[in-house]
Amino acid sequence: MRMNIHLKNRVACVGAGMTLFRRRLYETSDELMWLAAKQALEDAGLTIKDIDCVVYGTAPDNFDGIHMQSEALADGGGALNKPYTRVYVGGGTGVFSAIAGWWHVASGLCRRVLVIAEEKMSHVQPHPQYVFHHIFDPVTEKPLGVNLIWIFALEMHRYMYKYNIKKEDIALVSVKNKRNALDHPAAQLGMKITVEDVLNSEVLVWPVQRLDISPISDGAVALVFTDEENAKQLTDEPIWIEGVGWNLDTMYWTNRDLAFPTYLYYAGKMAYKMAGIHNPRKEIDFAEVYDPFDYKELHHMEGLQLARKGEAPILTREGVTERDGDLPINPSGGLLGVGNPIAAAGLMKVAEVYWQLKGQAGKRQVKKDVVTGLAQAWGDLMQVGTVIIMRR
Amino acid sequence: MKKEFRFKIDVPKYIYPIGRGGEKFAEGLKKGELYAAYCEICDNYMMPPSAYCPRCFSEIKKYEKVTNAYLDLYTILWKDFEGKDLEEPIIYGFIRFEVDEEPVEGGLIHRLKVDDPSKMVLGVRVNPIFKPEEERRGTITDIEYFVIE
Repeated sequence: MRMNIHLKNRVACVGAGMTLFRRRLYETSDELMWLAAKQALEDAGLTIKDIDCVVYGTAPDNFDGIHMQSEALADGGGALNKPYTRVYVGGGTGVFSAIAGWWHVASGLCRRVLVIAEEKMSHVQPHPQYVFHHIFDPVTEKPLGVNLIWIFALEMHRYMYKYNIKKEDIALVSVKNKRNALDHPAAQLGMKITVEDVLNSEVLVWPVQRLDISPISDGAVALVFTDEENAKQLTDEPIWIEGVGWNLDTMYWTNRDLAFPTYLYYAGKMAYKMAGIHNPRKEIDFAEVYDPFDYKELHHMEGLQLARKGEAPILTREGVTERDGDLPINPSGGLLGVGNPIAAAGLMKVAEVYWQLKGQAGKRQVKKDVVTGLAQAWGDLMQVGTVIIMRR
Repeated sequence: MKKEFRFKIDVPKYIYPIGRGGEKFAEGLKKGELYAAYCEICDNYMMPPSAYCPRCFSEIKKYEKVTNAYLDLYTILWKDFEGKDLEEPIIYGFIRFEVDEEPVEGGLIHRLKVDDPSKMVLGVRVNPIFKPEEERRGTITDIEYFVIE
Protein backbone atom coordinates (compact mmCIF):
# COMPACT_ATOMS: atom_id res chain seq x y z
CA MET A 1 0.00 0.00 0.00
CA ARG A 2 1.35 3.39 -1.00
CA MET A 3 -1.66 5.48 -0.20
CA ASN A 4 -1.18 8.98 1.14
CA ILE A 5 -4.23 8.95 3.38
CA HIS A 6 -5.14 6.90 6.40
CA LEU A 7 -7.56 4.15 5.52
CA LYS A 8 -9.13 1.67 7.83
CA ASN A 9 -9.35 -0.99 5.14
CA ARG A 10 -7.74 -1.81 1.85
CA VAL A 11 -10.54 -2.42 -0.66
CA ALA A 12 -10.84 -5.19 -3.24
CA CYS A 13 -13.26 -5.89 -6.06
CA VAL A 14 -14.29 -9.56 -5.91
CA GLY A 15 -17.18 -9.82 -8.36
CA ALA A 16 -18.72 -8.20 -11.42
CA GLY A 17 -21.85 -8.64 -13.54
CA MET A 18 -23.71 -6.85 -16.28
CA THR A 19 -26.82 -7.10 -18.43
CA LEU A 20 -26.92 -6.68 -22.19
CA PHE A 21 -26.69 -3.06 -23.34
CA ARG A 22 -29.51 -2.42 -25.81
CA ARG A 23 -31.56 0.44 -27.26
CA ARG A 24 -34.66 -0.83 -25.46
CA LEU A 25 -34.77 -3.72 -22.99
CA TYR A 26 -37.98 -5.46 -21.97
CA GLU A 27 -37.03 -5.71 -18.28
CA THR A 28 -37.96 -2.91 -15.88
CA SER A 29 -35.23 -0.78 -14.26
CA ASP A 30 -35.28 -2.74 -10.99
CA GLU A 31 -35.26 -6.07 -12.88
CA LEU A 32 -32.10 -4.97 -14.72
CA MET A 33 -30.48 -4.08 -11.39
CA TRP A 34 -31.43 -7.48 -10.00
CA LEU A 35 -29.99 -9.33 -13.05
CA ALA A 36 -26.65 -7.49 -12.85
CA ALA A 37 -26.45 -7.77 -9.05
CA LYS A 38 -27.21 -11.50 -9.09
CA GLN A 39 -24.38 -12.08 -11.59
CA ALA A 40 -21.90 -10.03 -9.55
CA LEU A 41 -22.84 -11.90 -6.35
CA GLU A 42 -22.48 -15.28 -8.06
CA ASP A 43 -19.09 -14.19 -9.41
CA ALA A 44 -18.03 -13.26 -5.86
CA GLY A 45 -19.45 -16.49 -4.38
CA LEU A 46 -21.81 -14.51 -2.13
CA THR A 47 -25.55 -14.10 -1.69
CA ILE A 48 -27.50 -10.90 -1.11
CA LYS A 49 -27.64 -11.77 2.59
CA ASP A 50 -23.84 -11.38 2.80
CA ILE A 51 -24.07 -7.75 1.66
CA ASP A 52 -23.88 -5.02 4.35
CA CYS A 53 -24.86 -2.04 2.26
CA VAL A 54 -25.77 -1.01 -1.27
CA VAL A 55 -24.58 1.92 -3.37
CA TYR A 56 -26.62 2.86 -6.41
CA GLY A 57 -25.85 5.15 -9.32
CA THR A 58 -28.15 6.47 -12.02
CA ALA A 59 -28.42 9.62 -14.14
CA PRO A 60 -31.30 12.14 -13.86
CA ASP A 61 -34.64 10.88 -12.53
CA ASN A 62 -36.12 12.37 -15.69
CA PHE A 63 -34.90 9.47 -17.79
CA ASP A 64 -37.18 7.15 -15.85
CA GLY A 65 -39.83 9.80 -15.14
CA ILE A 66 -39.94 8.64 -11.51
CA HIS A 67 -38.78 11.03 -8.83
CA MET A 68 -36.79 9.53 -5.97
CA GLN A 69 -35.89 6.86 -8.47
CA SER A 70 -33.24 5.24 -6.32
CA GLU A 71 -35.73 4.51 -3.56
CA ALA A 72 -38.32 3.30 -6.07
CA LEU A 73 -35.84 0.76 -7.40
CA ALA A 74 -34.23 -0.28 -4.10
CA ASP A 75 -35.66 -3.82 -4.18
CA GLY A 76 -33.75 -4.59 -7.38
CA GLY A 77 -30.55 -3.62 -5.60
CA GLY A 78 -31.29 -5.94 -2.70
CA ALA A 79 -31.31 -2.89 -0.43
CA LEU A 80 -34.23 -3.97 1.75
CA ASN A 81 -33.36 -3.19 5.40
CA LYS A 82 -29.81 -2.19 4.51
CA PRO A 83 -27.98 1.14 4.48
CA TYR A 84 -28.57 2.39 0.92
CA THR A 85 -26.98 5.36 -0.81
CA ARG A 86 -27.50 6.94 -4.18
CA VAL A 87 -24.73 9.05 -5.65
CA TYR A 88 -25.14 11.29 -8.66
CA VAL A 89 -22.64 13.30 -10.68
CA GLY A 90 -24.32 13.12 -14.10
CA GLY A 91 -22.34 11.13 -16.66
CA GLY A 92 -19.55 10.66 -14.12
CA THR A 93 -21.90 8.66 -11.89
CA GLY A 94 -20.82 5.17 -12.99
CA VAL A 95 -17.24 5.56 -11.82
CA PHE A 96 -18.34 7.73 -8.90
CA SER A 97 -20.65 4.99 -7.59
CA ALA A 98 -17.57 2.73 -7.51
CA ILE A 99 -15.69 5.47 -5.63
CA ALA A 100 -18.58 5.71 -3.14
CA GLY A 101 -18.56 1.91 -2.75
CA TRP A 102 -14.83 2.14 -2.09
CA TRP A 103 -15.19 4.68 0.74
CA HIS A 104 -17.93 2.62 2.39
CA VAL A 105 -15.38 -0.20 2.81
CA ALA A 106 -12.19 1.90 3.15
CA SER A 107 -13.70 3.81 6.08
CA GLY A 108 -14.52 0.60 7.93
CA LEU A 109 -18.22 1.46 7.85
CA CYS A 110 -19.19 -1.61 5.82
CA ARG A 111 -17.52 -4.88 5.02
CA ARG A 112 -19.20 -6.03 1.81
CA VAL A 113 -20.75 -3.51 -0.52
CA LEU A 114 -22.83 -4.06 -3.63
CA VAL A 115 -22.33 -1.27 -6.15
CA ILE A 116 -24.96 -1.04 -8.89
CA ALA A 117 -25.35 1.42 -11.74
CA GLU A 118 -28.41 1.27 -13.95
CA GLU A 119 -29.90 3.37 -16.70
CA LYS A 120 -32.94 3.13 -18.90
CA MET A 121 -32.85 5.91 -21.43
CA SER A 122 -35.53 4.26 -23.56
CA HIS A 123 -38.44 5.34 -21.32
CA VAL A 124 -38.28 8.98 -22.27
CA GLN A 125 -39.94 9.90 -25.56
CA PRO A 126 -39.38 11.02 -28.19
CA HIS A 127 -35.69 11.38 -27.25
CA PRO A 128 -33.53 11.87 -24.12
CA GLN A 129 -32.34 15.19 -25.59
CA TYR A 130 -35.60 16.62 -24.24
CA VAL A 131 -34.29 15.94 -20.74
CA PHE A 132 -30.84 17.33 -21.48
CA HIS A 133 -32.36 20.60 -22.67
CA HIS A 134 -33.07 21.43 -19.04
CA ILE A 135 -29.49 21.43 -17.85
CA PHE A 136 -28.94 24.82 -19.49
CA ASP A 137 -29.08 28.27 -17.93
CA PRO A 138 -32.68 29.54 -18.10
CA VAL A 139 -31.63 33.17 -18.69
CA THR A 140 -28.76 33.03 -21.16
CA GLU A 141 -28.98 29.68 -22.94
CA LYS A 142 -32.35 27.93 -22.78
CA PRO A 143 -34.21 30.56 -24.84
CA LEU A 144 -31.87 29.74 -27.74
CA GLY A 145 -33.26 26.20 -28.02
CA VAL A 146 -29.95 24.47 -27.38
CA ASN A 147 -29.38 20.76 -26.95
CA LEU A 148 -26.55 18.83 -25.37
CA ILE A 149 -24.57 18.01 -28.49
CA TRP A 150 -23.70 21.59 -29.27
CA ILE A 151 -21.41 21.89 -26.26
CA PHE A 152 -19.54 18.84 -27.49
CA ALA A 153 -19.44 20.20 -31.01
CA LEU A 154 -17.84 23.45 -29.82
CA GLU A 155 -15.38 21.57 -27.61
CA MET A 156 -14.46 19.21 -30.46
CA HIS A 157 -13.94 22.18 -32.75
CA ARG A 158 -11.68 23.90 -30.19
CA TYR A 159 -9.62 20.71 -29.72
CA MET A 160 -9.23 20.21 -33.49
CA TYR A 161 -8.32 23.86 -34.07
CA LYS A 162 -5.79 24.18 -31.24
CA TYR A 163 -3.77 21.08 -32.10
CA ASN A 164 -4.50 21.00 -35.84
CA ILE A 165 -6.19 17.61 -35.59
CA LYS A 166 -7.92 16.15 -38.62
CA LYS A 167 -11.36 14.60 -38.47
CA GLU A 168 -9.83 11.47 -40.04
CA ASP A 169 -7.65 10.95 -36.96
CA ILE A 170 -10.57 11.40 -34.57
CA ALA A 171 -12.67 8.93 -36.59
CA LEU A 172 -10.05 6.24 -35.94
CA VAL A 173 -11.27 6.10 -32.32
CA SER A 174 -14.79 5.22 -33.43
CA VAL A 175 -13.45 2.60 -35.85
CA LYS A 176 -11.31 1.02 -33.10
CA ASN A 177 -13.93 1.02 -30.35
CA LYS A 178 -16.75 -0.34 -32.48
CA ARG A 179 -14.42 -3.09 -33.70
CA ASN A 180 -13.35 -3.89 -30.12
CA ALA A 181 -17.03 -4.17 -29.15
CA LEU A 182 -17.52 -7.00 -31.66
CA ASP A 183 -15.84 -9.21 -29.04
CA HIS A 184 -18.06 -8.03 -26.17
CA PRO A 185 -21.04 -10.37 -25.60
CA ALA A 186 -23.17 -7.56 -24.11
CA ALA A 187 -22.37 -4.91 -26.72
CA GLN A 188 -25.00 -2.91 -28.56
CA LEU A 189 -23.01 -1.42 -31.45
CA GLY A 190 -20.05 -3.65 -32.24
CA MET A 191 -19.33 -3.27 -35.95
CA LYS A 192 -16.68 -3.14 -38.58
CA ILE A 193 -16.57 0.35 -40.04
CA THR A 194 -14.00 2.49 -41.84
CA VAL A 195 -12.84 6.07 -41.40
CA GLU A 196 -14.77 6.88 -44.59
CA ASP A 197 -17.98 5.52 -43.03
CA VAL A 198 -17.56 7.93 -40.11
CA LEU A 199 -16.77 10.87 -42.38
CA ASN A 200 -19.75 10.08 -44.61
CA SER A 201 -22.26 9.61 -41.77
CA GLU A 202 -24.86 12.34 -41.32
CA VAL A 203 -23.82 15.58 -39.66
CA LEU A 204 -25.72 16.11 -36.41
CA VAL A 205 -24.15 19.28 -34.98
CA TRP A 206 -21.02 20.14 -36.97
CA PRO A 207 -18.36 18.77 -36.55
CA VAL A 208 -20.16 15.93 -34.70
CA GLN A 209 -21.45 13.23 -37.06
CA ARG A 210 -23.60 10.19 -36.42
CA LEU A 211 -20.71 7.73 -36.08
CA ASP A 212 -18.75 10.07 -33.77
CA ILE A 213 -21.35 9.60 -31.07
CA SER A 214 -22.45 6.84 -28.67
CA PRO A 215 -26.02 5.49 -28.75
CA ILE A 216 -29.00 5.71 -26.40
CA SER A 217 -29.00 2.57 -24.27
CA ASP A 218 -30.57 0.55 -21.46
CA GLY A 219 -28.47 -1.58 -19.12
CA ALA A 220 -27.14 -2.29 -15.65
CA VAL A 221 -23.76 -3.24 -14.13
CA ALA A 222 -22.90 -4.40 -10.61
CA LEU A 223 -19.68 -4.92 -8.63
CA VAL A 224 -18.95 -6.36 -5.20
CA PHE A 225 -16.33 -4.65 -3.01
CA THR A 226 -14.96 -6.00 0.25
CA ASP A 227 -12.14 -5.49 2.73
CA GLU A 228 -8.74 -7.19 2.59
CA GLU A 229 -9.42 -9.93 5.11
CA ASN A 230 -12.69 -10.96 3.50
CA ALA A 231 -11.30 -10.66 -0.03
CA LYS A 232 -8.53 -13.12 0.77
CA GLN A 233 -11.09 -15.61 2.08
CA LEU A 234 -13.12 -15.30 -1.10
CA THR A 235 -10.42 -15.40 -3.76
CA ASP A 236 -6.72 -15.94 -4.40
CA GLU A 237 -6.73 -13.06 -6.85
CA PRO A 238 -8.49 -10.01 -5.44
CA ILE A 239 -8.33 -6.90 -7.61
CA TRP A 240 -7.32 -3.98 -5.41
CA ILE A 241 -8.67 -0.48 -5.66
CA GLU A 242 -5.57 1.61 -5.21
CA GLY A 243 -6.55 5.12 -6.11
CA VAL A 244 -9.65 7.24 -6.55
CA GLY A 245 -10.04 10.83 -7.63
CA TRP A 246 -12.71 13.28 -8.63
CA ASN A 247 -12.76 16.95 -9.45
CA LEU A 248 -15.15 19.68 -10.59
CA ASP A 249 -14.43 22.46 -13.09
CA THR A 250 -16.36 25.75 -13.32
CA MET A 251 -20.13 25.59 -13.80
CA TYR A 252 -19.85 27.84 -16.87
CA TRP A 253 -18.76 25.85 -19.88
CA THR A 254 -17.70 29.16 -21.44
CA ASN A 255 -15.04 29.53 -18.73
CA ARG A 256 -13.41 26.13 -19.25
CA ASP A 257 -10.30 25.33 -21.24
CA LEU A 258 -12.14 23.48 -23.97
CA ALA A 259 -8.96 22.12 -25.55
CA PHE A 260 -7.86 20.39 -22.34
CA PRO A 261 -10.03 18.68 -19.67
CA THR A 262 -8.75 20.42 -16.55
CA TYR A 263 -11.36 18.61 -14.39
CA LEU A 264 -9.76 15.33 -15.35
CA TYR A 265 -6.17 16.50 -14.92
CA TYR A 266 -6.90 17.21 -11.24
CA ALA A 267 -9.04 14.09 -10.71
CA GLY A 268 -6.25 11.99 -12.24
CA LYS A 269 -3.60 13.67 -10.09
CA MET A 270 -5.61 12.86 -6.96
CA ALA A 271 -5.93 9.19 -7.95
CA TYR A 272 -2.29 8.89 -9.06
CA LYS A 273 -1.05 10.34 -5.78
CA MET A 274 -3.13 7.86 -3.80
CA ALA A 275 -1.92 4.96 -5.93
CA GLY A 276 1.71 6.13 -5.80
CA ILE A 277 1.91 6.66 -9.55
CA HIS A 278 4.48 9.19 -10.74
CA ASN A 279 4.56 8.51 -14.47
CA PRO A 280 1.06 7.55 -15.66
CA ARG A 281 2.15 6.91 -19.25
CA LYS A 282 4.56 4.21 -18.02
CA GLU A 283 2.74 2.90 -14.95
CA ILE A 284 -0.82 2.60 -16.29
CA ASP A 285 -0.93 -0.57 -18.41
CA PHE A 286 -4.32 0.08 -20.03
CA ALA A 287 -7.27 2.38 -19.51
CA GLU A 288 -11.00 2.59 -20.00
CA VAL A 289 -11.45 6.31 -20.63
CA TYR A 290 -14.84 7.93 -21.13
CA ASP A 291 -15.73 8.00 -24.82
CA PRO A 292 -19.31 9.16 -25.42
CA PHE A 293 -17.78 10.87 -28.47
CA ASP A 294 -14.68 9.74 -30.34
CA TYR A 295 -12.75 13.00 -29.70
CA LYS A 296 -13.44 12.62 -25.95
CA GLU A 297 -11.28 9.49 -25.76
CA LEU A 298 -8.35 11.55 -27.08
CA HIS A 299 -9.22 14.53 -24.89
CA HIS A 300 -9.41 12.33 -21.81
CA MET A 301 -6.16 10.46 -22.55
CA GLU A 302 -4.44 13.85 -22.49
CA GLY A 303 -6.25 14.96 -19.32
CA LEU A 304 -5.09 11.76 -17.63
CA GLN A 305 -1.47 12.41 -18.77
CA LEU A 306 -1.53 9.19 -20.79
CA ALA A 307 -0.55 11.35 -23.77
CA ARG A 308 0.94 14.82 -24.10
CA LYS A 309 -1.37 17.64 -25.21
CA GLY A 310 -2.32 17.05 -28.83
CA GLU A 311 -0.49 13.72 -28.90
CA ALA A 312 -3.41 11.29 -28.38
CA PRO A 313 -4.47 11.32 -32.08
CA ILE A 314 -0.88 10.45 -33.07
CA LEU A 315 -0.74 7.52 -30.62
CA THR A 316 -4.08 6.34 -31.99
CA ARG A 317 -2.89 6.58 -35.60
CA GLU A 318 0.24 4.60 -34.69
CA GLY A 319 -1.83 1.78 -33.16
CA VAL A 320 -0.56 2.35 -29.60
CA THR A 321 -4.12 2.32 -28.23
CA GLU A 322 -5.18 -0.93 -29.95
CA ARG A 323 -5.71 -4.06 -27.86
CA ASP A 324 -2.31 -5.36 -28.92
CA GLY A 325 -0.69 -1.93 -28.59
CA ASP A 326 1.59 -0.54 -25.90
CA LEU A 327 -1.24 1.36 -24.18
CA PRO A 328 -4.60 -0.28 -24.92
CA ILE A 329 -7.45 2.22 -24.55
CA ASN A 330 -11.04 1.03 -24.24
CA PRO A 331 -10.42 -2.66 -24.96
CA SER A 332 -14.10 -3.25 -24.02
CA GLY A 333 -15.31 -1.25 -26.99
CA GLY A 334 -16.22 1.71 -24.80
CA LEU A 335 -19.40 3.71 -24.94
CA LEU A 336 -19.10 4.00 -28.72
CA GLY A 337 -19.22 0.23 -29.13
CA VAL A 338 -20.69 -1.42 -26.02
CA GLY A 339 -23.30 1.32 -25.56
CA ASN A 340 -24.01 4.26 -23.29
CA PRO A 341 -26.61 3.62 -20.57
CA ILE A 342 -25.04 6.56 -18.76
CA ALA A 343 -24.29 5.49 -15.18
CA ALA A 344 -24.10 1.80 -16.18
CA ALA A 345 -21.64 2.67 -18.97
CA GLY A 346 -19.25 4.22 -16.45
CA LEU A 347 -19.44 1.22 -14.14
CA MET A 348 -19.02 -1.10 -17.16
CA LYS A 349 -15.60 0.50 -17.56
CA VAL A 350 -14.68 -0.36 -13.96
CA ALA A 351 -15.97 -3.92 -14.56
CA GLU A 352 -13.82 -4.15 -17.70
CA VAL A 353 -10.71 -3.15 -15.72
CA TYR A 354 -11.61 -5.89 -13.21
CA TRP A 355 -12.08 -8.53 -15.95
CA GLN A 356 -8.86 -7.51 -17.77
CA LEU A 357 -6.79 -7.63 -14.56
CA LYS A 358 -8.31 -11.02 -13.71
CA GLY A 359 -7.50 -12.27 -17.21
CA GLN A 360 -11.21 -12.99 -17.69
CA ALA A 361 -11.90 -10.65 -20.61
CA GLY A 362 -12.05 -13.52 -23.10
CA LYS A 363 -11.63 -12.39 -26.69
CA ARG A 364 -11.23 -8.83 -25.42
CA GLN A 365 -8.17 -9.64 -23.31
CA VAL A 366 -5.35 -7.22 -24.10
CA LYS A 367 -2.18 -8.80 -25.44
CA LYS A 368 0.33 -7.48 -22.93
CA ASP A 369 0.52 -8.57 -19.31
CA VAL A 370 -1.41 -6.04 -17.26
CA VAL A 371 -1.05 -5.16 -13.58
CA THR A 372 -2.52 -1.66 -13.30
CA GLY A 373 -5.66 -0.40 -15.02
CA LEU A 374 -7.66 2.81 -14.89
CA ALA A 375 -11.32 3.63 -15.50
CA GLN A 376 -12.66 7.13 -15.89
CA ALA A 377 -15.92 8.95 -16.51
CA TRP A 378 -17.04 12.52 -17.15
CA GLY A 379 -20.25 14.30 -16.34
CA ASP A 380 -22.31 16.77 -14.34
CA LEU A 381 -22.62 19.89 -16.52
CA MET A 382 -19.73 18.44 -18.55
CA GLN A 383 -17.29 19.51 -15.86
CA VAL A 384 -16.67 16.58 -13.48
CA GLY A 385 -13.96 13.97 -13.79
CA THR A 386 -14.11 10.66 -11.87
CA VAL A 387 -11.17 8.24 -11.82
CA ILE A 388 -10.46 4.83 -10.28
CA ILE A 389 -7.21 2.87 -10.43
CA MET A 390 -7.10 -0.89 -9.84
CA ARG A 391 -4.23 -3.38 -9.50
CA ARG A 392 -3.94 -7.11 -9.28
CA MET B 1 -36.94 45.18 -17.94
CA LYS B 2 -37.78 41.55 -17.35
CA LYS B 3 -37.40 40.52 -13.75
CA GLU B 4 -38.46 36.94 -14.16
CA PHE B 5 -38.13 34.33 -16.85
CA ARG B 6 -40.93 31.89 -17.43
CA PHE B 7 -40.46 28.66 -19.30
CA LYS B 8 -42.86 25.90 -19.93
CA ILE B 9 -41.03 22.63 -19.45
CA ASP B 10 -42.08 20.37 -22.29
CA VAL B 11 -42.68 17.28 -20.22
CA PRO B 12 -41.62 14.35 -22.35
CA LYS B 13 -43.78 11.29 -22.72
CA TYR B 14 -42.71 8.03 -21.15
CA ILE B 15 -43.06 4.47 -22.35
CA TYR B 16 -42.53 1.72 -19.79
CA PRO B 17 -42.15 -1.96 -20.56
CA ILE B 18 -44.27 -4.17 -18.37
CA GLY B 19 -41.23 -6.26 -17.44
CA ARG B 20 -40.96 -9.86 -16.32
CA GLY B 21 -42.93 -9.52 -13.07
CA GLY B 22 -45.55 -7.13 -14.43
CA GLU B 23 -46.36 -9.49 -17.28
CA LYS B 24 -48.06 -12.02 -15.00
CA PHE B 25 -49.97 -9.27 -13.19
CA ALA B 26 -51.22 -7.80 -16.49
CA GLU B 27 -52.25 -11.21 -17.86
CA GLY B 28 -54.28 -11.77 -14.69
CA LEU B 29 -56.03 -8.41 -14.92
CA LYS B 30 -57.10 -9.17 -18.49
CA LYS B 31 -58.64 -12.40 -17.25
CA GLY B 32 -60.28 -10.60 -14.32
CA GLU B 33 -57.94 -12.24 -11.80
CA LEU B 34 -55.27 -11.06 -9.38
CA TYR B 35 -51.99 -12.91 -9.00
CA ALA B 36 -49.43 -12.81 -6.19
CA ALA B 37 -45.79 -13.84 -6.62
CA TYR B 38 -44.65 -16.75 -4.48
CA CYS B 39 -41.03 -17.12 -3.32
CA GLU B 40 -40.41 -20.80 -2.67
CA ILE B 41 -37.23 -20.12 -0.69
CA CYS B 42 -38.76 -17.59 1.72
CA ASP B 43 -42.24 -19.18 1.63
CA ASN B 44 -43.73 -15.75 1.02
CA TYR B 45 -46.48 -14.35 -1.23
CA MET B 46 -46.06 -10.83 -2.61
CA MET B 47 -48.43 -8.29 -4.17
CA PRO B 48 -47.87 -6.67 -6.60
CA PRO B 49 -45.97 -9.63 -8.04
CA SER B 50 -42.33 -9.07 -9.00
CA ALA B 51 -39.88 -11.12 -11.04
CA TYR B 52 -37.57 -11.74 -8.09
CA CYS B 53 -37.65 -11.95 -4.31
CA PRO B 54 -36.22 -8.77 -2.75
CA ARG B 55 -35.08 -10.77 0.29
CA CYS B 56 -33.23 -13.77 -1.13
CA PHE B 57 -32.85 -12.52 -4.74
CA SER B 58 -34.11 -15.80 -6.21
CA GLU B 59 -36.17 -15.77 -9.39
CA ILE B 60 -39.93 -16.08 -8.89
CA LYS B 61 -41.17 -19.21 -10.60
CA LYS B 62 -44.68 -19.42 -9.20
CA TYR B 63 -47.58 -16.98 -9.39
CA GLU B 64 -50.73 -17.83 -7.47
CA LYS B 65 -54.24 -16.47 -7.87
CA VAL B 66 -55.39 -14.60 -4.76
CA THR B 67 -58.44 -16.15 -3.08
CA ASN B 68 -59.44 -13.45 -0.62
CA ALA B 69 -59.27 -9.65 -0.41
CA TYR B 70 -59.99 -7.45 2.62
CA LEU B 71 -59.97 -3.78 3.54
CA ASP B 72 -56.92 -2.98 5.66
CA LEU B 73 -57.18 0.84 5.70
CA TYR B 74 -59.08 3.60 3.93
CA THR B 75 -58.98 7.33 3.38
CA ILE B 76 -61.49 9.78 1.86
CA LEU B 77 -60.47 12.37 -0.72
CA TRP B 78 -62.41 15.65 -0.60
CA LYS B 79 -60.22 18.01 -2.65
CA ASP B 80 -58.71 17.87 -6.13
CA PHE B 81 -55.11 18.72 -7.16
CA GLU B 82 -55.80 22.46 -7.03
CA GLY B 83 -57.48 22.33 -3.65
CA LYS B 84 -61.04 22.64 -5.00
CA ASP B 85 -63.87 20.56 -3.56
CA LEU B 86 -64.63 17.35 -5.41
CA GLU B 87 -68.22 16.88 -6.54
CA GLU B 88 -68.25 13.54 -4.79
CA PRO B 89 -65.62 12.45 -2.27
CA ILE B 90 -63.52 9.48 -3.42
CA ILE B 91 -62.76 6.61 -1.05
CA TYR B 92 -59.39 4.92 -1.44
CA GLY B 93 -58.87 1.61 0.25
CA PHE B 94 -55.66 -0.22 1.03
CA ILE B 95 -56.56 -3.75 0.00
CA ARG B 96 -54.69 -6.75 1.34
CA PHE B 97 -54.92 -10.29 0.00
CA GLU B 98 -54.68 -13.94 0.94
CA VAL B 99 -53.88 -17.07 -1.04
CA ASP B 100 -55.70 -20.07 0.48
CA GLU B 101 -55.77 -18.31 3.87
CA GLU B 102 -52.01 -17.59 3.69
CA PRO B 103 -51.23 -13.86 4.06
CA VAL B 104 -49.80 -11.94 1.08
CA GLU B 105 -47.10 -9.32 1.74
CA GLY B 106 -48.03 -5.86 0.41
CA GLY B 107 -51.29 -5.09 -1.35
CA LEU B 108 -52.96 -2.59 -3.65
CA ILE B 109 -54.41 0.85 -3.25
CA HIS B 110 -57.63 1.24 -5.20
CA ARG B 111 -60.97 3.00 -5.25
CA LEU B 112 -63.68 1.68 -3.02
CA LYS B 113 -67.39 1.96 -3.86
CA VAL B 114 -69.47 2.02 -0.71
CA ASP B 115 -73.27 2.00 -0.66
CA ASP B 116 -73.67 1.61 3.07
CA PRO B 117 -70.98 3.51 5.11
CA SER B 118 -71.83 1.51 8.23
CA LYS B 119 -70.24 -1.52 6.50
CA MET B 120 -66.91 0.28 6.07
CA VAL B 121 -65.09 -1.53 8.86
CA LEU B 122 -61.39 -2.35 8.85
CA GLY B 123 -60.87 -6.00 8.00
CA VAL B 124 -64.09 -6.42 6.03
CA ARG B 125 -63.96 -8.64 2.94
CA VAL B 126 -63.94 -6.82 -0.40
CA ASN B 127 -64.15 -7.89 -4.05
CA PRO B 128 -62.72 -6.32 -7.19
CA ILE B 129 -65.18 -5.24 -9.85
CA PHE B 130 -63.55 -5.56 -13.25
CA LYS B 131 -64.49 -3.74 -16.43
CA PRO B 132 -66.21 -5.84 -19.10
CA GLU B 133 -63.73 -8.24 -20.68
CA GLU B 134 -63.60 -6.47 -24.05
CA GLU B 135 -62.56 -3.20 -22.36
CA ARG B 136 -59.72 -4.66 -20.30
CA ARG B 137 -56.19 -3.73 -21.36
CA GLY B 138 -54.04 -5.42 -18.75
CA THR B 139 -53.67 -2.28 -16.58
CA ILE B 140 -54.61 -1.44 -13.00
CA THR B 141 -57.66 0.51 -14.26
CA ASP B 142 -59.11 -2.78 -15.57
CA ILE B 143 -60.38 -2.90 -11.98
CA GLU B 144 -63.10 -0.23 -11.72
CA TYR B 145 -63.22 -0.35 -7.94
CA PHE B 146 -63.56 -2.71 -4.99
CA VAL B 147 -66.88 -3.30 -3.24
CA ILE B 148 -67.60 -4.52 0.27
CA GLU B 149 -68.87 -8.09 0.24
